[in-house]
Amino acid sequence: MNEHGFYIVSAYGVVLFLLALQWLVPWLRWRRFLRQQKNT
Amino acid sequence: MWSFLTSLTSPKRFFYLSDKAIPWLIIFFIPTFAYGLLGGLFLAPADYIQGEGFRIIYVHAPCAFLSLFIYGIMSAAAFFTIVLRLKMAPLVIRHSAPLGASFTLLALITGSLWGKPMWGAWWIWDARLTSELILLFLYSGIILLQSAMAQKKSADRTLAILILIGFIDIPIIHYSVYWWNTLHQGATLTLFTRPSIASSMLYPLLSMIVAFLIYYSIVLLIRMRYDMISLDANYHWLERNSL
Repeated sequence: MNEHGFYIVSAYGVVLFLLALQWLVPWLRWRRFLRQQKNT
Repeated sequence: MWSFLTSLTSPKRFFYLSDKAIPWLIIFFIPTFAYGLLGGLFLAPADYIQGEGFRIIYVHAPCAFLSLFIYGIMSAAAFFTIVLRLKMAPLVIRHSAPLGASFTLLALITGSLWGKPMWGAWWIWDARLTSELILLFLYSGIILLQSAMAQKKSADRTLAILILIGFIDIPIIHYSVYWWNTLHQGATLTLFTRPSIASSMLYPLLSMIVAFLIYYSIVLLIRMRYDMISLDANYHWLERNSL
């Protein structure tokens, strides 16, 4: 994979990062909401 | 029959069905994504013209497919919003739009990262690339309109009309490589003809597309569930439904 390593790693990296972000954003929002509900 | 179909889309039924579906979707997602990732990076042989650079197809093609597929789902939901006034349809639109926008952005970024070593340019004003960029603008417009009209009663119908008008871009993106003389290659996979790529390259690609579809379903269901819970906050009910 030495030939185009930079491009391949960057493409896979950015996809994995954004997929993780799609999961994390609603999950973190949910945790915060649950915490607020338990505190009230 | 009709009342049975509409009952399937009621919020209560949705909660019950999504509660059962999410764990199964996660179980199917993990092996398909792992196989697609390993197959794309290590198991598939290098292409005889593009060399190792072709491995970007395993993330680029699923993202591009999802960007069109999600818009198709949103258009169907828009139709159901206007014609059948289903309660869940505007929720599907609201939570699909950011996901569709991020898959479109990913398709453009990975395409750019593939284009630089193969074409020698990060970006060209090619018909396929330009129509995909218009799709990103459409998604952005839908998200902005959503937040601008959040308090208005007519927001759902206005958004639905905008989505249905924007649907014209979907066949343009798909057929752009046939209608115009473009640098972008034609479709790798078609519904009715045998794929021209070797099975060792094909199976990881199919696996990755299925994994991305499952991922979209999981995130969409989770976002919709959380949104509905936060709108109808009730402590005891929350404890039972928290994942």
